Amino acid sequence: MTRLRRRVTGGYARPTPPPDPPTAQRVVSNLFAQHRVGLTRLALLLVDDEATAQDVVQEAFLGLYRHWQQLSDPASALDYLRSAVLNISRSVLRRRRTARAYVPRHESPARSAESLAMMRAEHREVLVALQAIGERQREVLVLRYWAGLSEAQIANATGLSAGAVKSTASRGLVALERRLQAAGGGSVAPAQLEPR
Amino acid sequence: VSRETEDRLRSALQARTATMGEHTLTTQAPQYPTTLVRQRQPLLPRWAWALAAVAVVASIVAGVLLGAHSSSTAKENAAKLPPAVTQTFDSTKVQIAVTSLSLRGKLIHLELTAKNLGVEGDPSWSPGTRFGKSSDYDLSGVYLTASDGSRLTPTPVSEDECLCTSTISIYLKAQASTTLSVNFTAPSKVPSKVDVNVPQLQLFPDVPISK
Repeated sequence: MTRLRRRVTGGYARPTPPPDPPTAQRVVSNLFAQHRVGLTRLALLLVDDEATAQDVVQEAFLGLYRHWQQLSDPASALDYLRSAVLNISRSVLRRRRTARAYVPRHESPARSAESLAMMRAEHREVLVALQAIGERQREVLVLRYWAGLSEAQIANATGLSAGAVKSTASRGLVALERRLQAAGGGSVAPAQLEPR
Repeated sequence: VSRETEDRLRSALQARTATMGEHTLTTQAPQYPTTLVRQRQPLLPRWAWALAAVAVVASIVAGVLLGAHSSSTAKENAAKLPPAVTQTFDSTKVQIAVTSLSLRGKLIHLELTAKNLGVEGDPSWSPGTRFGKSSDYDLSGVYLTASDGSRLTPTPVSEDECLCTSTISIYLKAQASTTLSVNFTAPSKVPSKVDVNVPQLQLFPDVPISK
C-alpha cells in the first residue's frame, strides 16, 4: 500500500474534484471481476496461502477504490493493483515472521489435500526452493515466469530499475538452481510446504 | 542457469495456481466505504488562522511601540541620514558616516562608522583624542544641536568619562572600519532632527532621530 500511496498524486494544497462514488465503484468492480483471479493467483504464489491471498487482493482493491480520485492515470489501475498486491503480500510475510518470533509455532493453514495431491513432487520441490530464496527475487521470478511481464512492467510493479530487475531475476534463478541441486531432486514432504 | 530450471519454475508456478479458478474464490467484490478519499483535515480551522494573523500583527505593533524593532518611520529616517564625509588626518584619508541616530528609552543613541581609506601598506589610523573633549580618548567632544539652539552633550558616567566608545585602543588598518557610539540624555521634548557636531569634522546637518 505504501507504494500505491506513493504513486497516487494529490496533495494538501491541490484542490481535488468532488468524489464520485458510483463511477469509481463501477469501474473498480469491473476491474475486480476482470482481474481478481489473476491477482489472487499472484498473491497465492507470494504468500502461499489461498485465504490470505484473497484477503490481499480484497485489500488492494479497497485501497484502489479509496484512492481512486487521486490516481494520476486511471488507465494504469492494473499496474497500481499489481504493486499493491506485492506490497500487501510483503507486509503479510513480515507480520508472519514477527508473529513467529513471539508466538509458539502452531498449525498454520496448510494447502488442501486436493491441491497437494494434484501437485507433482518435482513441482513441490521447485516451490519449496522458491519459498527459500529472497523475497525480492521471488517476486521478480513470479512476475517474470508466471505473469509473463516484461522487465519494464516488473520494474513498474516492484519499484526497481530495469537493470535491477534483470540482475535480481538472474541471481534469483541461480539461487533457485542451487537449492534444487542441494535438494538432489528428491521428493518433498508435504510438511515442508507449509506457508511461510 | 540452465534452461531446464526456468522451465521447471514456469511449470511449477502454473501447477500451483492451476487449481485456483473463479469457482474456488470465496470472496466477493469488497464492500466499498461510502467516502472515497479520506480528506485531509486542515491543520487549524479558519478562525484559528485569522486569530493567529491578528496576533502576529498585534505583536508587530507592540514590538514597534516597545522599541523592540524599528517601525517604518525608522527605516525612512535611516534613508535620510547625511552622506559620509571624508577627512584627511595626518595624510590618512578616513571616511566618517552617521549610521544611526535613535531614541532608546531616555537616551539618544548616535552611531558613527569610521573607515580607513588608505591602501595596503599605509599606516594604521587611530581616532585617538580627536573626538574627545580636553584630550580624552573617547567621543566626549561630540554634541548635538537642536533647531532651537539647545545643545546636547554626551551623558557622563563619571567625572571624566562619558557613555560612549573609548578610542584608546582603536587602530584601523588600511580599509578597516569600526563603529563608534555615543549616548545623550534625551530632553523632555525630543526634537525630530538635530545637527551632529563631531570635532575636526564638518557638521552633519538635520539628522532625523528615529523613535
